[in-house]
Amino acid sequence: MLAIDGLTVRFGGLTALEDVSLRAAEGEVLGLIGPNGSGKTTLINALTGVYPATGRVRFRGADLLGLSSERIVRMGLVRTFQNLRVFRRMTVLENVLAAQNGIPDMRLVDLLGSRHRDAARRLRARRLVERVGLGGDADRLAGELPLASQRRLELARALVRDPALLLLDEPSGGMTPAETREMTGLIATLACPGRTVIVVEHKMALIVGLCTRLAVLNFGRLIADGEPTEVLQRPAVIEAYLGTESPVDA
Amino acid sequence: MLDDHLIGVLSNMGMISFIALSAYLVLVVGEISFGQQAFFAISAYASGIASAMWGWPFLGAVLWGAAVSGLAGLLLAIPTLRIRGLYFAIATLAFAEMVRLALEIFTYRVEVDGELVGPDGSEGFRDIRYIYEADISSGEFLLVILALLAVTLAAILWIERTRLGAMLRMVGEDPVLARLQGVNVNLAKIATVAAAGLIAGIGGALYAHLNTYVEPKIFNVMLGVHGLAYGLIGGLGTAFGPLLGVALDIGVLESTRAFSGYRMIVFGGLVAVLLIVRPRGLLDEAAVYRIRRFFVRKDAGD
Repeated sequence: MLAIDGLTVRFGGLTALEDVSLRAAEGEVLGLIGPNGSGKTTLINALTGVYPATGRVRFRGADLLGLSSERIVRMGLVRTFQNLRVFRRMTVLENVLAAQNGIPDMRLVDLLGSRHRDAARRLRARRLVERVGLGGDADRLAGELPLASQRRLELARALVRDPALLLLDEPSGGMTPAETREMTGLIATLACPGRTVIVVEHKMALIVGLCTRLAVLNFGRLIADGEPTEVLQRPAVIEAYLGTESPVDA
Repeated sequence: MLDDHLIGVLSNMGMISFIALSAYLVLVVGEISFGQQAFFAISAYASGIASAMWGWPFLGAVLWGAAVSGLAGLLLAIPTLRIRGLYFAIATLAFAEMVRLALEIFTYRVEVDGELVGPDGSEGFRDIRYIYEADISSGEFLLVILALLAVTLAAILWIERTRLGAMLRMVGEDPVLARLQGVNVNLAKIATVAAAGLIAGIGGALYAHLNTYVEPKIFNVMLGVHGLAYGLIGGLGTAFGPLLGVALDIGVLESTRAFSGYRMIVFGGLVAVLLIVRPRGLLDEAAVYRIRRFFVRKDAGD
């Protein structure tokens, strides 16, 4: 499904990612962890065409590097943002509706159709808004929502494109423990045959509860890749992540 | 009957509305242009040449002027595509000054009915005599202005209701996010700047034909700054916003003479205050949203 080989991202003299090779199989939930500044978000930005990168990335057999963001997203690779990005001046439902640009069944003439009247897409968007628990807020301006709800909105917006590969960048960032538990439960329902999910996170409870595999980045290099509880016991991971204690207890 | 003063004010408001709508469209996709007066100027000249020198019919000349200024918009949009914010604003200002200075030296005169007609550098372009020749009163011309404005406004309002309109607002609010949702940001910006050029051009063509005379210095930066300010005052949530701005400035400040001599001070103060308390104008997105909800709720209660 996704094959990354020798991915390198440089900003001037700084190497943010160096020679990262990683695979993700269909239907897998892959966790991606690492200390701050280790290159997790950079990896997502490189995959989605936000940053230029070298190496080779193949997604369902097609090369991704060098393609524009809008081409990549149209191929079925959709992401959320660590630093929350929603259209604050649109309502929740409009945000989800707007995310449907360029999905396969969208034709050029649809651009000139009323954005308020497309019943089928509207219904689908509304269902997703309800699925992430924002049913009561569907017609509020997205900018007025609390942070946890905006994260849920990002999730609904990603799902409306029915992505084959979903990249979640700290989906529980800034949430309370209770909100994090709810979000973990929600993410658990997203993986399905034909959809791969990659989760970038700091919270170990979320990672261990969700992921079937875990990859660890440190200083832009991949230092571990394997079964989650086993990976978290490796000395290199413990050292990179916490120094001395096992990160499972964090 | 409307008196001449009122007809003059309304005509002026109508023509300036085209610049305001033009600057508004660029604001919707997230950029600030100080150069929309250039398109007004280009079309004023192009349409005047068509009707006074080539003998084209009036409507054909207006469409021609708008097409030429739309093309100029396209030509401006492509090289400025990769610059944003302040740099885009400076580039548009420079472009407009280039156009104005080019018109200062642009001379193209032909003999029509034994008289030399055409743009004559800084002397300007006289004898765009369509309204005399066709014997059109200023009241009738006002109706033409209002009709064209209504068509333009209806087209923009319609697009704002469509997915295309939603895409333009996405580009304006967060181009990176828009791109990551499958929007072709470059195409959206190029098309918008070209359309904005075309719309300003309709106003310019009307201006040339109503005044029968244009000169380069009319199209200075203050014209563009006003056009820009109307959207910022009236609001960026709907195309009615810039029209509200025009109505407040020309309709109230300039025309009532209540602020005579102080008009620019009051206008400047109004812009400053609004930028602080309501950065996206009176009819901003939140206001438009509340108004719409108010009516939707009423419908639901029926």
